[in-house]
Amino acid sequence: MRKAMNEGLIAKEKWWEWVEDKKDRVFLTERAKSRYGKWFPREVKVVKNGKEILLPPGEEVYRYFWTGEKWKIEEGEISASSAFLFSLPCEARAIIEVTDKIFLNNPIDKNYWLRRKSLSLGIMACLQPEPTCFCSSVGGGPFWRDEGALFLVPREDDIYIQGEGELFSFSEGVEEKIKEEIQALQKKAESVLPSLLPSYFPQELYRYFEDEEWNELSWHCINCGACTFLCPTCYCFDLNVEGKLKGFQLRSWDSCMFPKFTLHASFHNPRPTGKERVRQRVMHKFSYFPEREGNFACVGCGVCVEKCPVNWDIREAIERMVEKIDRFRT
Amino acid sequence: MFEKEIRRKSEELLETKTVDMVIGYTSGSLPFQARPVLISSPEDTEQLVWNHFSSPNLARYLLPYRDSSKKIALLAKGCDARAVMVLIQEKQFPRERVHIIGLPCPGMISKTKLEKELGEIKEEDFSFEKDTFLWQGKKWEIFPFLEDTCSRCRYPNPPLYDELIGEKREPWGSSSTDYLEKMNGQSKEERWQFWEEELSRCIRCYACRNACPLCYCKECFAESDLPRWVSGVPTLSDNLFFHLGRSMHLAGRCVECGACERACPEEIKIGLLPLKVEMIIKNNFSFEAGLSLEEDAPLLTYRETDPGEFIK
Amino acid sequence: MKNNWEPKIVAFLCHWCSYAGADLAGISRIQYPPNIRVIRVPCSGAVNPLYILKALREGADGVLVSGCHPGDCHYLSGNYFARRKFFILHELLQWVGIEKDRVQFSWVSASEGQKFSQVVEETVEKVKKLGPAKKLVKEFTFHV
Repeated sequence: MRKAMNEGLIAKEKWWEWVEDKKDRVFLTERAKSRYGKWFPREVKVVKNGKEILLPPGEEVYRYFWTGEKWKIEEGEISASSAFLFSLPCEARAIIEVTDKIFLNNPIDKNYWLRRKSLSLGIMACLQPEPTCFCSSVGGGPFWRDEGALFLVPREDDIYIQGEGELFSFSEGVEEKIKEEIQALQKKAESVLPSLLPSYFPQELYRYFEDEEWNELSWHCINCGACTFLCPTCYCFDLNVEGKLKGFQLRSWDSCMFPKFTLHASFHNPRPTGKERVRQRVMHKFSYFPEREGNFACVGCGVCVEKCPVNWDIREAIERMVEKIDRFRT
Repeated sequence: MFEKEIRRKSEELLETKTVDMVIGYTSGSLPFQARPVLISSPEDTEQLVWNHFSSPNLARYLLPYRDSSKKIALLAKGCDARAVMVLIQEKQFPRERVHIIGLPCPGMISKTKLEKELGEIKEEDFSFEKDTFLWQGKKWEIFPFLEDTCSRCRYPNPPLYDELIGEKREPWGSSSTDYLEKMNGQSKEERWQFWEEELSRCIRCYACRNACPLCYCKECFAESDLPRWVSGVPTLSDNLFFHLGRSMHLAGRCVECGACERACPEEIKIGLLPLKVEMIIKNNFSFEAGLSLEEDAPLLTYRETDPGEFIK
Repeated sequence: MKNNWEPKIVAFLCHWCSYAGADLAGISRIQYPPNIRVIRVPCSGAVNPLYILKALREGADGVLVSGCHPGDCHYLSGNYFARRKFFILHELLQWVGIEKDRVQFSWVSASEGQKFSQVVEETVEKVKKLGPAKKLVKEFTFHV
């Protein structure tokens, strides 16, 4: 029903015209900036990833005060003006395939929804994956695109753009030669990335819940929380009320690595040590979430691998479990 | 660089059952990175490495074994051994159960600094020799590439050890007082601006706290609900509160290993705050943590002559 | 508008000396500025540095901590430890950029009602000059 794919080339000057005009409303992720910073004015705001905009590290949910006779509650105001976020495919995929599924499904998180509907996404193709990248093993890819977002491949003097948008509409299509060029770039980028995890992985991984491998795997993790906070898909949050006769309920980022995560009111904690927490992180991303939603809750961006202070590598954990599973599968 | 001796010694200790396990470094999954490893059988000692990228503080890994009966051999750099000393003094770990393999520290090199200066680099192209390395046919001094935390190190040699592997060395020249002297000389507004900038980037992931061997409270004050000191939101005031509070809790105990600063994913110079506290204590109470098992901690003692002019 | 601003100062007073001294000031009808909010603690050594930071976080414009004179502590040595702790905290706060006069300390004995009122006057004067506290105050706040 949709009309043919809207794609075309936009010359450098036209692009600059467009982006200069919008620069106050443009966000760029750090990684997109390090690759394509020269295509954007210096003044654009840089964010770590989409999570910073859509699910900020702290926000007021409601405020309350005692009027002298009764309690008054006011919902926190969210103002979201229309904006653009240009990111790499993995970061965009984190929004579209993970956090959107959590916050825009029943129930719809009002704050997230307000921000999300005014945020337009632009996916910048990843021409040179880093050694820590593994997006292709979790269902993504360096040229992953979605019909809800623009897709851009910057070239020498122009940008190949694909996608709907009142911003860009192209009357002529794109020459076959250019399309082949783009495809070649895609193949080149994909060639350095690992292959897709087997489809039986989420289900099989769960059967190794009690496996001893977790002891060894989790030993050197210091359970800090850096990986969860930097991860574009980790979405756990904490709600805390501060104040007495007047105060707030604040929503802030939580982490499965923190000691109070899943601490029950009875003071029993089903995840008392680092081993259970590390296992939880891997299980959630590679078993629980995919079984429920159909895709991994990890987009393979590799930021956690890059930044872990003790070099805990989620790829190794996955590899070891795949090996184990394959060894014993009939 | 003494890797063979380390492996041999560890193998010996495990075979003779002098220790039940060895905690050391092994090569990581990324170049220029080493990771902590637990070795329990003599054959696995081949995994041990020791190089300029073995930066996490291993004393931290003694903490889960506080209540066990296992004897542990720990590969300890100067700062790590100091941390073990403080843990022993604070009765967190008995001296008899830790066998310290002292390693005079050659200084940890920052991968970021290497990449910034040399561009794209591969680990195979480097060969390290004493305080220099060879790369692309040229000899380079390692000092400019050291992690900030290591370039201000004053105690590379372990003050406590059961055996020493390697040659004792001189500290890297500039004492920590010099490093802070520059900041001490700045105006208060400049320092405030610096800290405002640095701590606005803090996301309160607690990597600094968890990497520290001396932050071992079962419930950290930052996560306490009753009383609640800070909120979960990383606002500037709460970040300041957390870091100032943590520095005060480390007063007289911090061994300036810099594990906190190296762990920070936002690359905030977070080690400067506990360092300043230690400098205050060193200059006024003549005490440095982790150098002697007999000296009492500064906040457990007092003198009649303590500075008191600031009190009306 | 600024002339009407009165600083709010949290005062941690040790029960045995400073609090009694403050009481004596009251009984003797010695006038002193009403800007302080007193929190009675058993000993100046019981004042956790986190209390001082917390007071600043909650919006106090200044903090005063007062205890027994060295040698006269009811618990023998509490104030000695306090002196060391506060020295370190004070130096650290100054180094980070918090104004020196936001957090002040004094030794006031139970018989020094006059001194107490002087200490409070001095404290209030110094904090007034600094203006309202901004640096450590929590961001999530609202006034009804």
